[in-house]
Amino acid sequence: VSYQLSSEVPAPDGRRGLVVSGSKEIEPGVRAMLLIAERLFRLDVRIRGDSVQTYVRNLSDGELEVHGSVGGLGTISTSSDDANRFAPGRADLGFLIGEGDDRLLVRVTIGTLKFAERGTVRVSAQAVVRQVPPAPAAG
Amino acid sequence: MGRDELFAVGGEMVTGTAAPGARLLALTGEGIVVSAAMTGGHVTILNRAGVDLTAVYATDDGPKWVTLPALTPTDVPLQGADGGRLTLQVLPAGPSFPDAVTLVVSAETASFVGQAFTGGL
Repeated sequence: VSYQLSSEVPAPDGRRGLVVSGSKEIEPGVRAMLLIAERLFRLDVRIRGDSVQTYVRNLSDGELEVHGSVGGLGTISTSSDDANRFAPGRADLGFLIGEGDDRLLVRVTIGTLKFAERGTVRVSAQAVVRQVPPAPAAG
Repeated sequence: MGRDELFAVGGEMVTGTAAPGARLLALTGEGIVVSAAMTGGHVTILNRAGVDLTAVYATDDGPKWVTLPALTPTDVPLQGADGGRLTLQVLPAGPSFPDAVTLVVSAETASFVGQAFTGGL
């Protein structure tokens, strides 16, 4: 069972933005589609041990430029003691797609929860998509 | 804007579990507080952000929109064939609430488990 939501929202600079959220419970080793944004990208995931493999398919007309994990700079991830039995995990991914004025920045946060009794992992994600800010004019 | 700044991630990820009737998780500096229902079947979201917020959640019949009034608890029903799952977005609302929030909750045996993310545009 998979649930996905996709909402257009205005960015603070007045340009367009998109928030895509999805969640899926999968068995380790199985590749599954987690998020899809029509004509932009598709994100698949696979659980490998304690790691999450990500696969980004470019559905746009422009190039894809993946920046992999962007680490935990400035991030806060918290969980209660009781929640730790679900071994919550986090991964971050960033990429650029499209070209020209349609170049888009996509930042994805992926969270995992292990359900040991079912032998599954719930993988959830939020992708925030916005147009790339224009480069400052040379001066 | 440099590459590092472009891809910097500043959002939260919060995970929580709760018995029915207890607080499940809070995020955005307590701006959003989620509690598990005493009787099952829904979660209660308290919007303490100071402005009304718009949320959307997934159902078998497509997305359903709901307003989260400021300082007022809102019950949101769990979904799915087993009636025990929720995927919900809270949308940004200007400078008072600049982040998008994704909330995923499921009802497990005798407890609820939830995970939530924030991320700004």
